[in-house]
Amino acid sequence: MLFQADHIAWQTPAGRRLDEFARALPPQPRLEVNVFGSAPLQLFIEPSFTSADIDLFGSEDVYDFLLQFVEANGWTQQHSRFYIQICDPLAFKSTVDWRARAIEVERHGHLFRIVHPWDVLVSKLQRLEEKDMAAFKLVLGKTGHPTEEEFIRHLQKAVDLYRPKFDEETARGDMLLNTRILWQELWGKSIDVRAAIIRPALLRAEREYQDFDPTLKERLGRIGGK
Amino acid sequence: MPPTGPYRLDRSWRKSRIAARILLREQAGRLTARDLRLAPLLAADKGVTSRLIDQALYAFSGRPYRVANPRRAAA
Repeated sequence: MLFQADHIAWQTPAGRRLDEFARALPPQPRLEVNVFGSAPLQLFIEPSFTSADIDLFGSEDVYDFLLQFVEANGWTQQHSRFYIQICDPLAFKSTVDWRARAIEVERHGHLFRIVHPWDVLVSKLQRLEEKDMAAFKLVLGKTGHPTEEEFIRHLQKAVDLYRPKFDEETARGDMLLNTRILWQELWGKSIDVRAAIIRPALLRAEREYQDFDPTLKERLGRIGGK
Repeated sequence: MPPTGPYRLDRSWRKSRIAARILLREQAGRLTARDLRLAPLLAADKGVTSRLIDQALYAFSGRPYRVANPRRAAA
C-alpha cells in the first residue's frame, strides 16, 4: 500500500509538532530523523488517532544533540502535553526493509523519514497492548489493508522478531503469542505462525543464497579435462 | 581496451563472464581450442565462482538476475 509525502496531515498535533521541531532545528548539519510509533498513523491514517507523543530517532551521533534540543525547547514529557520522545536507533524494530518503504519528506532543510504504517504495526505487534490492537483495527478499518495474506508476507520480512528473546528482554511481549491473538481478533481465525510466517521466511532467505547452479564451476573444470 | 576507472569491470566478474561464454559454447557444441585452454585456468581461479558465472549467464540471456526469486509476489 502506497503512502506518499503529500498524504501527510501536517495539521494534526503530530504534524504541527514535527513542523515546529524541524523549523527550530539549526539549518546545519542537515539531519535525518526517523518518525515511528503512533505518529505515522496520525499523519497518514486518522488525524484524530490518539497519540501522546512523537517517537523520533536520528543517527547515533546526533542522539545527545536531539535529547538536549528537545529539552531546551520544552518538548519533553515533563514540560509538554504532546511531547517528543527521542529514542535510541536500536529501539525501533520492524521489518528488515522498513527504510525502503518509509515516506521521506523534506521539512525546513531536514529529512524526515516517516515509517510506513504497516511497519509501525509490526513494531506494535511485539507489545500488543490494548492501544496497539486499536492501531491495527484503525489501519484495517480505514484502509482495508493489510489483508491477511499481505500481512503474512509482511511479517515474513520481520522473521527475526520471532526468535527467542534474551533473558534481558522480558519487558517485550511474545511475538508468537501476539500474532496468534492478533489473527483471532482481526480475522477470527487461528494461525500457525511457524507454517505461515517462519518457515516460508527462512526458505526465502535460503533461496537468496542458493538460487544458482552451484555446479557451474565444476562443469567448467571438466571442459579442461576433455 | 575496456574502460578504466569506476566503470572497469571487476576482474573476477570479467573472468566469470568468459567462463560463462565457454559454458554456453560447450552447450552449443562449439568449443574452441582457446576455450579448452582457458577453462581449467578459470576453474582453478578462486575469483571465478558459480554464483558469478550464473549471474553472467543471466546477463547474456537478457533476463534480470534473480536477486529475488521471480516467483515471489510483490509484498
